[in-house]
Amino acid sequence: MNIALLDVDFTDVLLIIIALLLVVIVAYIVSNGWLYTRSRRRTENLEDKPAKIITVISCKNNDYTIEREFQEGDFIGKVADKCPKCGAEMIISKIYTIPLESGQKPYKQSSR
Amino acid sequence: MWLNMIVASTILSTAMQIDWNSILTLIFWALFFLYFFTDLPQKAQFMRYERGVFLRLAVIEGLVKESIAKVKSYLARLGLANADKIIDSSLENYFAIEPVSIEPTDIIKRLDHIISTNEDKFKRDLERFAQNIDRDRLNNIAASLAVTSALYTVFKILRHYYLLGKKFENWILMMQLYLLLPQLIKELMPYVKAVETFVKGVPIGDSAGPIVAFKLAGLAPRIDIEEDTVYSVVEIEGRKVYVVKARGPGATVGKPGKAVAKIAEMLNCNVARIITVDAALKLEGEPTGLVAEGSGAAIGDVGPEKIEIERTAVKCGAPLDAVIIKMSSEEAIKPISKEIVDGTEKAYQVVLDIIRNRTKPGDNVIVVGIGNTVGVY
Ligand SMILES: [Zn+2]
Repeated sequence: MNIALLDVDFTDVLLIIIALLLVVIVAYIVSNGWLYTRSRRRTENLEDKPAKIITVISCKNNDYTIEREFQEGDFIGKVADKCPKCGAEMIISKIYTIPLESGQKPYKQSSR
Repeated sequence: MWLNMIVASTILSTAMQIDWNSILTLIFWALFFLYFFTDLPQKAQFMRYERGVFLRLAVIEGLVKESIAKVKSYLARLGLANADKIIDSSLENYFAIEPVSIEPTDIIKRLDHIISTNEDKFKRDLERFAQNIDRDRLNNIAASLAVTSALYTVFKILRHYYLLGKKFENWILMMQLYLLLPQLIKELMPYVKAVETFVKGVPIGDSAGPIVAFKLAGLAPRIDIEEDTVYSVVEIEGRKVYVVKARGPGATVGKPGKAVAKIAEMLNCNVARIITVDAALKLEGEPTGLVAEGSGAAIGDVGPEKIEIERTAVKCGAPLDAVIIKMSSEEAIKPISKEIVDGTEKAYQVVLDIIRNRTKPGDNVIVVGIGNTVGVY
């Protein structure tokens, strides 16, 4: 039994070691590549996260505020409609973007 | 039958064993020589880099084309004919040559002269091209053309180094490009978005300064003082506050430095304090919208405007405060985010605190909202 074990050809052992190394290297490269594309996809998702632009319009007397989607021509300081509560002028006070949560419709381009 | 097969396989395996051995040795030595005594590895690496750079350059070229298309469709929407001509001319022309710097006398004046000549030329050409377009839209067109031209310039320079590296097989150059391009692409992406933003007139991160100015001035009348620059006078707890900003809501940064100098002159240097508010670059890891306060002129131009503010402050002996709202370079040109809007509210409170605590009633205070005023009145 012992003799038979010792009798194993040395090149066979070498071959097995080389084959094992190859398998390990290939596995490493494949897993690396997979992780790379996965992380890449994740950052790309972050990058292209659809965003919605919100316009906040508030009354001069601070008693009424509405939020709606941004329309072309909006700017901070634009005088919009009359306040439904007190009839004073309403002014666009804020414009900002918020990332869209999944399930919501992506930002639509305003009518041309 | 069975015996036959076993015999055959033994013969085969012994034959294979001999073959494997010599083949392996041969391959090993061949690889050894190729690897250590030839340039093959470098050549292979060079080819890989060259391929990678080529593909990434194609991505950047795509970005340039995309932004050109966006500007073109905007010009078409405004009903302007021969848009191609103005886009082509603005892509290649309007470069500015830095003045001689080994002779420092007057260097700022010369730099300022060159910059304003160039801007004037650009605006005049645009006006001639778009005759019945109002000033705000004209500024939007100018800003989107400037962004497109900047993108194109970056592409041209990268292409230059790529072709040089390829021509002379300079693998160090190619390697640098290969390593640099992914980051550059990530930084250039927002520029394409910026074109769209300017076209629509949405405030960007850099509009933080003008937004703070708007919070101070409200709808008080805007008085023209310099090209594309206005000021409003408001009273805050007994102080006369001169709020300076670029003329909105078009996309422009105006000339805030010269405006400050003019106002100080108008007030016979009777200025208690000058406060500049601007967006500033954050370090990686810092939160967006962080507000910080320091001293100096918070303005990121090449020099002429900043030096005007500093000189005015020194001349009038007025302390110079800087309030900054931090954001990344991407966020500065993207549509303004909620965090930055919250930051502007904090910055507004900081400015009010400075006015309350460091000036006396009856003082004149100049507050300058630095930045692109797109989408802000
Ligand atoms: Zn109301």
